Amino acid sequence: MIDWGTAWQVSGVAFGFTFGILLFLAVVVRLASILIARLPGNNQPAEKPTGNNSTAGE
Amino acid sequence: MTDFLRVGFLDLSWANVLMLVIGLVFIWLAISKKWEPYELLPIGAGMILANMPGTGLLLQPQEVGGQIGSAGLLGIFIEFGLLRYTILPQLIFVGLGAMTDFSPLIAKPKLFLLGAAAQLGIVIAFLGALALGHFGLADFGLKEAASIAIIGGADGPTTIYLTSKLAPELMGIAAVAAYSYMAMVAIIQPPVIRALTSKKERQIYMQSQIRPVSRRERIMFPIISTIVVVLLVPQSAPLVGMFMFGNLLRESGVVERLSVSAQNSLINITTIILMLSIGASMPGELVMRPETLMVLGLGLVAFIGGTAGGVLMGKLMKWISREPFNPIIGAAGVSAVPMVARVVQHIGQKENPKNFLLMYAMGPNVAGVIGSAVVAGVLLNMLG
Repeated sequence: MIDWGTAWQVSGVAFGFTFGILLFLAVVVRLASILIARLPGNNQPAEKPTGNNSTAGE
Repeated sequence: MTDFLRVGFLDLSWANVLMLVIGLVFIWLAISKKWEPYELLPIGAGMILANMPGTGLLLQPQEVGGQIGSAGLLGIFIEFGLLRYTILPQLIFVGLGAMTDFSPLIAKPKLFLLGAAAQLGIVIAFLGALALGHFGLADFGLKEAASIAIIGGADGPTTIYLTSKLAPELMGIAAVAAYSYMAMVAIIQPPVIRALTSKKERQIYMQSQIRPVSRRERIMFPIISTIVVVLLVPQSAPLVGMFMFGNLLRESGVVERLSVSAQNSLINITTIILMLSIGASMPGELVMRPETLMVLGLGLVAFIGGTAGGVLMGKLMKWISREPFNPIIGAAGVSAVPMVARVVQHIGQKENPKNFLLMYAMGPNVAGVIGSAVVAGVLLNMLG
């Protein structure tokens, strides 16, 4: 017999928690980027172009 | 002489013969069609080796009571690499991390949301597997349902890791389903994308350049991600932690030899052992069960659901975004790096030749890898 209450709980927590964590991570990464940009010695250009692949010229 | 024949041919069952044929098909697909050759070729070889009777290759040390010299090579790989310690998928993640460029995701962190939404397929397949049990069509409990559902994460090592922990008997078929569907994303995804988006939406032009990402940002990303994710879901550490460690090797720029080793030797050797073991985890008797077909069907549902979840989130982001946003990049939230991103790029450029969506699609693509590892950790935490 399937315990649908537990099943819905597992589904909801798995999806909701993952969504929340990735959303939180997105915010933290954005904040870290802003902070890093303000650190001294960060005005040199990036060593690699975004998307380090052959189409980017490497 | 008769004994020799008996060991070889006469013990061969129809299930073994079927698996030998399937193994040959996998090898053919890998060589002729170049479908995921690094995975399908050793899986096919593993299937063939595992389905020839009397070889002893599959004997695990625990089955022979640890008797020296009695266990088979594949049995040792399966027992120590997968069932007992599950180290192989984790080592693969070190290599994957060393091969991954997170720059598109760091430049546009909102793309994380697409990777998160694409985990919807896992939930749909989880409930679908339980519904089959509810209607008496299968006997899937919560652990089996979670193991089947994770196929929708479109991430082979994650599927193998979770399945070996929750339902080891499903590990072989779940992994084969995951890799097979990953090889078929170019067939599975386009109809879903077209069904959920209008031509006008698919044609939306996004500027081809994403801002450059500094070295400091690229170094901080794996460190921040590990701390945030692992503190919130400790059970995801074996996957997320190893993934980010591999990425730190790459981005630090000071351990070139380690990074190159992780990207080449480590991942290649581990892939050989892991894929052979997965193929060898497919005995004929398993494939002859009706549940196997259901696992394959639910895996497909999970892939479709994940694609739909990503595209629908893409539509939402298009609606709230101030700049032009093409919703089809949401489909790339289904991990399968980088095939899914290529599918999105192909569709986008076909609809609007000016479009170059690959960089944007790589963002949700790698976010999907993190997302599926987090889901696996959460499921393990709740059901393990």
